[in-house]
Amino acid sequence: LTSSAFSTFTAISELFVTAGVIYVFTKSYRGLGFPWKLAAGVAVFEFCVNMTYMLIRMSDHTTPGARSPYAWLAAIHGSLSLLVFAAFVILTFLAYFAHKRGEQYFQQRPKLYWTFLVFWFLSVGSGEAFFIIRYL
Amino acid sequence: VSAAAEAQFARWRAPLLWLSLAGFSFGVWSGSALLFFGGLLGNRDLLVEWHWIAGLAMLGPYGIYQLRHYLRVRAWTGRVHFNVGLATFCTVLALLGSGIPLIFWTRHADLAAVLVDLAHSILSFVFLILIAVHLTLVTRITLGNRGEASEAKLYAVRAVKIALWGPPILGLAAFVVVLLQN
Repeated sequence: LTSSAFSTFTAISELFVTAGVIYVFTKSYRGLGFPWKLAAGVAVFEFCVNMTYMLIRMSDHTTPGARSPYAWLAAIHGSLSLLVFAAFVILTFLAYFAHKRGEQYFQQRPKLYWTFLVFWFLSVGSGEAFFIIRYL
Repeated sequence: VSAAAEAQFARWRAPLLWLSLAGFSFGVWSGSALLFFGGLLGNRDLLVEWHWIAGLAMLGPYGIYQLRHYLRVRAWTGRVHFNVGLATFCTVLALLGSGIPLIFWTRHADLAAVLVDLAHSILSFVFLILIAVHLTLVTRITLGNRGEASEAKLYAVRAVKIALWGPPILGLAAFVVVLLQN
């Protein structure tokens, strides 16, 4: 199978999004403030491009009769991505309000920081693995 | 702790709030299962029917709750939690607007049905994120009003915790019951 331009774009852009997520949360983790405008930009881009792409492609694997060999991988990757993205948005809100109060949200919650990153990497990793298995 | 704060704690135990959140929870669980695991479910059609039934059945309690909620909080215009709540309500309306046609188009595969289905899925993502953010913000406000008195503090934390865990678990339980039907 050859990948569409949209598939390749999302696979690559997801790596930049991941870099952005690590950057904004690590700033807070190290007590260096919270770049909330960048966090908001990352969230909007992730939703408008990557999450929408995933939704569009989900029907290829999970609609009745699709008989996709990747149905389970697609289902697990899709549901994990939704949960992790929702967590990212909520944590961004909480880190933003903490930042306004002069607090460093993730510096005070290192376990939350690491747990979130583990799940984020699982989500992104499953998506990149999906791309590699299917197209490369 | 003021009487207003005590009333605020008690509102987390309101039956209409619980019914609404449990209904949303069932909708999210069943909708997510249909979206992500739709091709893998043996009883997909039954789950689709329950997704509609629950979605329509909760309109009554949710409508009453939303109206009373709005009449009480309308003075908070401009605050972040109010705006997020308003956006959540608008998303619910859009979810209804996109969901009701799908009841009649379920066997159709034309472009309009596919686009409405996609819009419904995207809107459900938006809804899930907005309601999660709204509940996070109002939780912060409630817990910020709990004061130092230990009894009121415990009551507020317990009321919020039960309201945030109870209805989603009830919705999940209802979803599991439907899922186990043959």
